[in-house]
Amino acid sequence: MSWTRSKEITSAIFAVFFLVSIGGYYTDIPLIASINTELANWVQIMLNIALGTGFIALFLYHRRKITRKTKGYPFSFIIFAAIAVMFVAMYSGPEVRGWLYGEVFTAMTTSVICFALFYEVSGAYRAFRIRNFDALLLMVSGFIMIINFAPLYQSVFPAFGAIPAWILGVPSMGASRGILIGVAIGTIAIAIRILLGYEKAYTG
Amino acid sequence: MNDMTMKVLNQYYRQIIFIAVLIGCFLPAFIPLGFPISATPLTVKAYNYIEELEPGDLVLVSVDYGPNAWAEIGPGMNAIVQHLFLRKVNIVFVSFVTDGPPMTEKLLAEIDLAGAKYGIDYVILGYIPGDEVGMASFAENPLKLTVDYYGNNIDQLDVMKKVKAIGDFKLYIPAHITGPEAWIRQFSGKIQVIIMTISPAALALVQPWVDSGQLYSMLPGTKGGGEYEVLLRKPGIATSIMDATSLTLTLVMALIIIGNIVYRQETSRAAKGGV
Repeated sequence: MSWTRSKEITSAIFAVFFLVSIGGYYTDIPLIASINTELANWVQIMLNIALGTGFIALFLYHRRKITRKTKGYPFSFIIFAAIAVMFVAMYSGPEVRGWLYGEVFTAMTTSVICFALFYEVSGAYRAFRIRNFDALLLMVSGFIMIINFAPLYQSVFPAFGAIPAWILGVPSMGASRGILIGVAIGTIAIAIRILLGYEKAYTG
Repeated sequence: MNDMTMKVLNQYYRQIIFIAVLIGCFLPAFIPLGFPISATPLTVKAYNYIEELEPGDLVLVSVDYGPNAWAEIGPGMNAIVQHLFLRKVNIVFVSFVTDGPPMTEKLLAEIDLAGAKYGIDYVILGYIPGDEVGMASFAENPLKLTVDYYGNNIDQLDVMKKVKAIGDFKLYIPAHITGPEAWIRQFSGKIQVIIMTISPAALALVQPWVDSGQLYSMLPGTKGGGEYEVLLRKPGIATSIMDATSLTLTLVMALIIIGNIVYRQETSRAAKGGV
């Protein structure tokens, strides 16, 4: 049935859901509010199902890697072992789960994140070389923000705190507001484009 | 700087930097330096509000970060939640990310619960799926969940008997590393006061919401946690991390200055026709 694949149908479905959601947020009409609540429940149910399908996709992907012995396939065994261990741990009580999650998993992920610090400092050593006036501005603002995040300087030289506070409160906030307003206008523009059928990425 | 030093710095600068950073991070763990920490106005504002809460007041806390963000946010959350327990308020923990509930358990394992009992003084509701839709759903009806994280019926939990609507909470503390918009859209105006615990990297993004009054205050990660521990007079992990932060950032500034001296000498030598 070709009409089911027409873009008008997908646009109409989007329009109904969009208007009900907007109506539920901005109006106080009980019927629209209850429909909106029901739609929110649907989304939550679908996302729960998506978690399950995500797990199945992960399982199939790594099973395929192992059966085809593609590059790095031994790591897929580790994935399966980790899933099994965490699954058992989740039902073994808070102590086991807490130890694995808090002392093993958190420590490992924190370590990985912290590797970036070494490269960031190494990068800063080269990037903050004053080659021109722009680089000087970058270095000065970098220093001010470093001082802002090192409590030592704010305690020893309280006046230093006023400079980063001004940067965050005036130029940075102006830029942040600009970004926020820009994103909001962009989101509205995309919604209108989808409603009018110009944006095909979401409606097919 | 002599030629030998220049040569070493140019050839082995990465190794020197890595060793310096390593020393900066690890030295305070073995030799506490006790660098002074002073609380910034927003941290003081958050502290004062919690200090004025009455025992038994309802507070909602959403732990919306995973293990990868613990170093940035966890110590700050430890400090502020510690204060909540010391104030004897009733706390409802909820999470809008899958990692939230185990991170909540980690948080509670690391602080002094001041004799608080599960179900009577605090409860972990667990993960609510749907991201912002989940937040909207919870904000509309916090009693939509029928069981807590451990499968207990929430009707049987004393702390949940006090909750009738989202407006019953005197304070909401969300903790996350992303932009703050979703939390503000769904909870601002519904709960009187929101104090956000965020990654310091998101400071500039969150500042407009504080300025507009939609956020009462914010705690920028571990730095905010260190300041909060000073106000609490209860030094903890955030304070010890701040020693390492001050030392490492000082080393970073020193390295940047050295990098510029080396660069200047190189360029002036090249201008004179040297190699």
